[in-house]
Amino acid sequence: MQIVGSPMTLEQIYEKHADFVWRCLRRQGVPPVDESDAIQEVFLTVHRTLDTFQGRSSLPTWLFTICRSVARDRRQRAHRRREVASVDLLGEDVDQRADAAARVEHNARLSRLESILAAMDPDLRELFVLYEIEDMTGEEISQALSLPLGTVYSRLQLARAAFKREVVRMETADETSLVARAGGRS
Amino acid sequence: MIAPPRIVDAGDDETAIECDLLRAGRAVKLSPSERKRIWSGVSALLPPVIPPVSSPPAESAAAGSMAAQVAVRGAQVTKAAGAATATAAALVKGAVVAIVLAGGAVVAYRATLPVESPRATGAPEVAKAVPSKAPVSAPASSLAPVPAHVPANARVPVSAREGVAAPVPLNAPARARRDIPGEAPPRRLPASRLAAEGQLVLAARNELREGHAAAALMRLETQREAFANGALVQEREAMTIEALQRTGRSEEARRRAEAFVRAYPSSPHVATVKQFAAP
Repeated sequence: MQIVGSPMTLEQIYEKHADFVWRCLRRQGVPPVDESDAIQEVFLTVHRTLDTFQGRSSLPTWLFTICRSVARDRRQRAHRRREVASVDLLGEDVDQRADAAARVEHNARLSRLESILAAMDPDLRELFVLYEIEDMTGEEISQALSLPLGTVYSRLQLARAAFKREVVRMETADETSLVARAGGRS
Repeated sequence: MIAPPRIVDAGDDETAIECDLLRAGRAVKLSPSERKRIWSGVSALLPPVIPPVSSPPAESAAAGSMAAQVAVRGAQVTKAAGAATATAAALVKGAVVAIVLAGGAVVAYRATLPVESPRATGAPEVAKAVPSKAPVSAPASSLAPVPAHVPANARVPVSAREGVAAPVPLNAPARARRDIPGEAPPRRLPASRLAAEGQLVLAARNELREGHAAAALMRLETQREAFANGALVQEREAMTIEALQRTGRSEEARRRAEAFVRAYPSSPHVATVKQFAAP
């Protein structure tokens, strides 16, 4: 079925954006056990509300707002049963062709990324992720988060600074613990 | 306002660690099998545009194609009637909303209800058929009443029940035969809870349509807990309310109808459910 206001079919939208939707849902605190159903719900909602979309916003912006509302419902239904995605779970999602060592490394990075993001202010984190990981444009984020474009960019600067600070803090902590461990052995 | 380059695109030494971390974040993807599994769950609840010819269509396929026809008819008829553009858009919108409500399942439920119901006469019936998402300004006066000569078990297309169309029957009989409960067992294992939930809705709809309201009610109520967080909660609850009404439990139906309207004020099922909320 052709989506009104969009040159893409639902299946094409799924093909292109399923990963994005999944990542959005996870970041919005959808319990891992509910993820598949939540993804399905998002795409059924896309299908259900396609007549109201009509290209008024970009596709990612629209999907993001649907994800946010589905995630909110799921969180409420789960009675705040929030679970943090485990590294193992993340590991399953890495490209199956990747060899074991690469997967271990990928998981380690991902785990670091998650702890750094978790240390950031939630509003800054969301905006930062949409720009730096999801490749959304400033305009799209401005629509998705209902913020003026200028605010999006100024907050992006703040978010980048915060992210960098956390990266440095993590690196320092690593070195400190290495030194400590080395000291302990000697 | 110029957008700053993304960190992963900057590629300088200073941000190398940040780059690596963000690339890892970008590489988080569904596994191919999971991706396929989830899509099959979605597509199981979508009405296909063209029903399969070579094999007997699954229940949802029949329901879906019918819904699609209803939509097309709605659009065509509206156009033919030369209605105002706004009205046309509203009606088409209504039809589309109806199709996609629950991937055809609920549409079929609505579209194939026997005309003869406790409140089958006159305006309330018309109001029942109009999806609540359609604007209130829909031209109620132009709606023809449901023809009295339609047999009780006839499958009346939504457009006819809305009175927008001249009641030219769809080519339903061929499909109607396939809709007999028991002839349409699930042809594959549910791809997910959502697909299972869709099948429950379909089965209950069949039972309701065939007049087995008590069976439908039992099915819906016994699985209420299992799908308490399901995606089709509204559809199940709307059917439950109708089943309660049909089994003579009017007071319960009324109570739950009121709760439904409070919980989902903008639900497309509100118009239907409200009938049962009336004292």
